[in-house]
Amino acid sequence: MGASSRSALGSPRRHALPEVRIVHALAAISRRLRYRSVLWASAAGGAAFGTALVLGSVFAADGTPAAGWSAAAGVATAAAFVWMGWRQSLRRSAAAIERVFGSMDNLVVTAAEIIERPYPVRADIQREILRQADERIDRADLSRAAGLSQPVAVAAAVLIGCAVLLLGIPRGALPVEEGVIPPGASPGGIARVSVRVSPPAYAGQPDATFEDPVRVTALAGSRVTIEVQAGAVRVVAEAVGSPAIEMERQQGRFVGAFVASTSVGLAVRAEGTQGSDARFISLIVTPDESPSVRVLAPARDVAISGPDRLISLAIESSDDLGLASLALRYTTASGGGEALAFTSGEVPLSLERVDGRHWTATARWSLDALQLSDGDAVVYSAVARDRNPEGHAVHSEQYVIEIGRAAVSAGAGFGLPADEKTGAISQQMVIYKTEELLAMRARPAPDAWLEQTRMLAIEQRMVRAEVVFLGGGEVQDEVEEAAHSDELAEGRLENAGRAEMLRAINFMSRAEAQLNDGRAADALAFERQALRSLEIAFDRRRYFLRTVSDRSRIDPSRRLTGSLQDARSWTRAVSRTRAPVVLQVQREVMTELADSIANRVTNGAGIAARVAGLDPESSALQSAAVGLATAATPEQYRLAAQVAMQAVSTQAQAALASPADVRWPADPLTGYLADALGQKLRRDRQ
Amino acid sequence: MIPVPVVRLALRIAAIMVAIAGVADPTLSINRVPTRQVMVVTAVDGDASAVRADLGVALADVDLQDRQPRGAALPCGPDDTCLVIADGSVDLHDGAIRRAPVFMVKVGPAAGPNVELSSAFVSPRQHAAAAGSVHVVLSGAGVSGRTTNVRVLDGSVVVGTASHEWSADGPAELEVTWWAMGEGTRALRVEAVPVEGEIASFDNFIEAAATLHDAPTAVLVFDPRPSWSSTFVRHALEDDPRFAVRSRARLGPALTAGTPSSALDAATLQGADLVVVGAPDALDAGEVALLERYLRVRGGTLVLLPDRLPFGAAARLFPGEWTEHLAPTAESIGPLRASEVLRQRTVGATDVVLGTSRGLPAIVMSPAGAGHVVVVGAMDAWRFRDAADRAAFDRFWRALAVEGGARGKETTVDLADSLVAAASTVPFNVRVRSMQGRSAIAVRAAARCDDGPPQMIRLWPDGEEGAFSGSWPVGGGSGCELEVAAADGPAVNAAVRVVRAPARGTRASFARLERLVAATGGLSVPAGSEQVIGDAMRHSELAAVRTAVHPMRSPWWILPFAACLAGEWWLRRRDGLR
Repeated sequence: MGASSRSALGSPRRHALPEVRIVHALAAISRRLRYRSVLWASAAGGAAFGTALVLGSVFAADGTPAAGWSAAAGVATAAAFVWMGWRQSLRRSAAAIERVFGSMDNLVVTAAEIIERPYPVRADIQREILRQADERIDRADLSRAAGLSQPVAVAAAVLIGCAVLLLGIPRGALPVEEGVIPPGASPGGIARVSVRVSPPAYAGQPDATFEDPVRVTALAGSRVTIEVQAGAVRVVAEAVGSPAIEMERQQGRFVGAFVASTSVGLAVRAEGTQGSDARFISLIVTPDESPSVRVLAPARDVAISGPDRLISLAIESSDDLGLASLALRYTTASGGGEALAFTSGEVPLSLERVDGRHWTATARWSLDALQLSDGDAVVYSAVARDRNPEGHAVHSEQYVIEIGRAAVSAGAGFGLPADEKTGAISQQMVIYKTEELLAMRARPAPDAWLEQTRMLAIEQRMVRAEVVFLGGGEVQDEVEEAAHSDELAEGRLENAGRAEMLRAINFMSRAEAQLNDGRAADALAFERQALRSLEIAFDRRRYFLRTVSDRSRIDPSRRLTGSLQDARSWTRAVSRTRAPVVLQVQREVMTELADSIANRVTNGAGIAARVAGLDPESSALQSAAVGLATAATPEQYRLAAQVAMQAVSTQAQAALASPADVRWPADPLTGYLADALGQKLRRDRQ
Repeated sequence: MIPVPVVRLALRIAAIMVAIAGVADPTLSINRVPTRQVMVVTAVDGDASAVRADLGVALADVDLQDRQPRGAALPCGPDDTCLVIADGSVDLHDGAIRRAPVFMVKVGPAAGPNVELSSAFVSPRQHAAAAGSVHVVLSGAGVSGRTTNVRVLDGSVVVGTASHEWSADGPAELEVTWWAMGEGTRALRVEAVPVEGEIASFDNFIEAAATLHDAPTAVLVFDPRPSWSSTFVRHALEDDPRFAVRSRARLGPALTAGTPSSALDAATLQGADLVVVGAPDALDAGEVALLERYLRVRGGTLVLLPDRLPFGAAARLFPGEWTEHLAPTAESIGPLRASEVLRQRTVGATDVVLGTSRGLPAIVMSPAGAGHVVVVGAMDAWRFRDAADRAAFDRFWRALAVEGGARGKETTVDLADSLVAAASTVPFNVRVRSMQGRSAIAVRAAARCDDGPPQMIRLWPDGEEGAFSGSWPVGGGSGCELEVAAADGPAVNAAVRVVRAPARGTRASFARLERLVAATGGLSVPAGSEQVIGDAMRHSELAAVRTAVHPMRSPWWILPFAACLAGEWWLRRRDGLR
């Protein structure tokens, strides 16, 4: 027994000691002290865990307390306490007894020292000390020396507190049904919003993921997936004018997806058991742009008369996403009159793909294979298509190749009529050539000069003939008729367009006469006047309309077939642009914005979505909505709300009729004054 | 040496006389010039102590009593001489009949940058389907190079903004477009946001009110022969919900086409606010007479769209002399463009030119009789309606129709103000106009505030036929509505918004006080010239007032009475008498 006791003390002494009760008593106290240290270690560990948990939630950047680190801190603290309290000695036990019972007169401590570390003391004294210590121990209630009730209570309280801290607070944030509360999410709050944009396959672009975005740009047709981590029961993505997207719970997240077709402002709302939260996302949808294609060479109409019928072509094309094909198509027009024949085909191209979005192509096109004869024409254009399967082919400008000798002079003078301004353009070419000729005047010999001016005169006459043809070809003597066009104008310009054309013909005739005489400088003035008249004439196409209020159509087959009761005057279907229904919504949004400023609101996700929803295509409203959603302080929000109010006002005013800006003074008596003044004036004249 | 008994007797008699006089209480009547008393009302936003001190010096011989304005009422009695120190920040009203003059010392703004919102005109009636416009006049001093933002607020909501960049000091005008936040009468606050370092902000805002309505303007378009011009004008008006357009075109001698109930007769013209006539040279004499009656008697607005020089019977509808000018290219005439133009040779004294061609009027509004005639000399403007600004053509015609239609209503009510103070009186005028002259016109007016009972208001005939005036006592509540109805005509409404003290701007406040000063024979001087008022008061002698005096009612009589009794008693004791 004595040996075991000493062994339990940790420092056995191999010497003979009396078998006294104090040894057992001190060993028992040591055991109780170890129990106490374990209990206190549990309490300290729990306190450390709780403190770390609370501090972590307060100071964490995302508000997410690190439960693992807190537990580690608690365990480390408890271990340290256990380590410190595990080593107990007889002297510490004796000291504890002496501390509790003041009547021991240091006998227990002395006895413990004698037992544990024998001093050179006489044996009788040792025995006496041990005896007296036994006597004192016998009288004492040793359970008081190392009481366990207090540390048990403290440890239990701390551990219960930890349990409450760990389980109680998050319990409210946990979804009612299942799942784990995301770190940092408050009850009903959104911890994180992730938006993944998957462009359509033809775009060849990778998916893009945005974390907590406010503005997301997506190509039309992209699949947009929204993932929300929230301590909520339900999460929906709402857009004004569209049905709400109910997000599905998947592995502790809420996921919703849709195909983006138009720009929209989304309010992602999380509804929890203890509140709600919202985030705003402005989704800007950009449409796929059509490709552009251009013929770089020859990039003009060409007239070919000689045997060399080889044309070098250069084409370039580009697209915002990627090109799928590039081709050159042509149509030949052969023959004449009623026997005109058309043939279509494609020219082989040598393609060079600079990258997926920029292609160039070249070709050396021999027209011999087309078997064209004099007077035939070829119309060609480049055709590009992008990778969008729903896209359309885009054509370049069309160019014409005229075959044959007769086409040379015409091609040099003017092109084929592409629109109603052809005459003006051709006349512009005559002016250009005349200016060129005047610039080179010093160089050619007189004979060569006269020849060149007469060539120009031929071109001028051709242009004039074209204009005469456009005017109906009824001008018998255009000089005479144009000379009297002023009379026509004075006759109320009833046909001012025709007068201008006659005037242009007149000027062209005069220019031609000057050119035939070699006076290019004088001709140039007439050429310019002719051009001006042509432009005026073609801008006045309405002059040819007749002044009738309505065009009547008579269908003889319906005569005498109707009911007289249904007969009524014709009325024009009026499209009433009444104040739009959205006006009331705009008013509500404005009121909400004003209220939110007054209430110093900072989270404007909901109102931002409403602002954006007024017109998802309006960049001003979208920017204003983003400003509302990203405002971090009340002052920033106030400024953003003012910008939003201005944007909404601008939109509302644009939908309303314009204010009247014609005003005159309202005085009921001025009319009588005017009458009196008028009567006096008439009397004075008489 | 007077013997002591005589002295003693004299003292006794004197005491008895005082006692008898005191019992008798005799009354005396005298003519007295009273001390001048002036009520000094300080209606200044800032510190006016310097001006008040100067007044004390200038009017040292005057009893000055200070009063502070409470609300919008002038705190002076009808018989009180009132002196107002004003900087325009307080809009003081006075409905009393004054028998004493009112003086004013005008306190100008201190030296430094300042922007004053001089005036803000808001149309009292605003169609719900259109945006409104506020005509704002600003006056800037020391703000060159800065920008003033002007805002229109409907409640706390900013419903219109505009800005002006100051290149020099002086006045500036701008239009601020606004839209209403609801139905009914809207109280608007127009404010110029103070620039940095601005010395005064009380002159930066004005309050006004506008009543929204959805009643369309009745427009009749009549073409005695088909006319492109009136066709496109009609199209411009038909697409706007502010107008109810009826039309009629004569296609042949006995053939017309158009909307129902659009014949050119007295009944149709009676209900038309605006009549547009295309190709007026084709009007016959009867139609011209009818239109002339509509114009001069009915008081409607007639718009003439000639497509050639006026001649024949229709010529008398055209005010002044007109000449025709044809040009090869179109020119700008106001907001329109035209190459065929009618120009008026001389402008009448009462004409309003809305567009000119080479310096001569081409679009002219001329008052005639009770109505207005507008001649649009841009004859082929319809051809160029898409020229530069595609909406300019439509916008001009709609604006012209709004203004003309408002002037040509069958029955009109004009209020002096749309934003009024509580418990104030609003004067108003009613005009009832008819195609037929009438010897008796029955008109009734009833007002109602909020949900209160209707209150009949007495109307008094004015000099003009069909014109009446009335005074509308506006009580409490937030809004009041006035309904006026002629016996055989439509009822029209007008409304006011009631506030505690409407802010109409410094100019209006000063103008109101100036009128009061002029009406009462007072004087208005700038600060620093207070002596002028003092001199004027001294030169205007106060009339002597006959005053009843009771001399024995003075308590001081007790002293001689007691002295006489005491002296007489002392003399008797000295002589050993009892």
